[in-house]
Amino acid sequence: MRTASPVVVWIMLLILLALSVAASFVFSGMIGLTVALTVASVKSALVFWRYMHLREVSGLLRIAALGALFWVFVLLAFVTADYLTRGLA
Amino acid sequence: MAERVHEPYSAPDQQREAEMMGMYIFLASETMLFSGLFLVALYLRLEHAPDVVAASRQMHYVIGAANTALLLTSSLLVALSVEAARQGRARPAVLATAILLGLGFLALKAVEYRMEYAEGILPLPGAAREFPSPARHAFMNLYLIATTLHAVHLSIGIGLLATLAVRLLRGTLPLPERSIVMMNAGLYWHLVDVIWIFLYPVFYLAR
Repeated sequence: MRTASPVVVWIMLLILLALSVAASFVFSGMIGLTVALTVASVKSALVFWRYMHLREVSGLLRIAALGALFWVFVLLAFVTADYLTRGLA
Repeated sequence: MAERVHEPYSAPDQQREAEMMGMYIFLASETMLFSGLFLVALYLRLEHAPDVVAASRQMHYVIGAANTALLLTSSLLVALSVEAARQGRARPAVLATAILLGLGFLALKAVEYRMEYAEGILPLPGAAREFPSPARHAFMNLYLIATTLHAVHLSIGIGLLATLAVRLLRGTLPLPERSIVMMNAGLYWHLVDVIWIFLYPVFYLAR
């Protein structure tokens, strides 16, 4: 029973992989990019939560593990702020 | 059963937390390393969308999907062997299967590189290649750099897991006392998997 859960997560990951391949043929452009990155984020969240032990560690360790996400967001958002807001000018 | 507690820690839980935190912070630095490459990918996509889509359509997305499935399955096996280790059971065969899947990933990647080389879209020095636009050349440069850097990380992961599999076989890794070694090697393996989870849609599925 204790080993059932990683297998369930693995099945979900494979379903999400199939979903992202299928979605790439349905959606294109910015919507396609958003869908692809959202599915990838859900897959990563599953891996982090179950396989990388985030579900069982303290809040401090979760911050240590996920802190980089915040900095990646700052990097991506600030560098692309110009490109993403051109339509608003 | 109880883990040996070293200075400066006062309790096994505290020591284990510190050992995991060190690994999480190292993995955060790995995330930042790859995020620079993802930043370039995002810039290319925003500034040269038609070129990126055209270049991505040339990629062998079925091979990429098969490789993703190989890595996801290897992650499951690593997670299972780590879980067993924490309960005091050594599972070298499960770990060895994960290593084989990792090697399978590298073999498939090599086959794919060879196909791209033959198609003239792999920007290796000295390779015959023709790119319709500088942006498509840049996209393939980024693809080659990002996937090679990932393959280097995967190779390191294979080395880590192989070392642990040997220690499990020889019985030189006391379990569950030293299961933290398995956990941290597993964390590294899973992060390399997560990086591929993002590399795959960014390079293969842009349409």
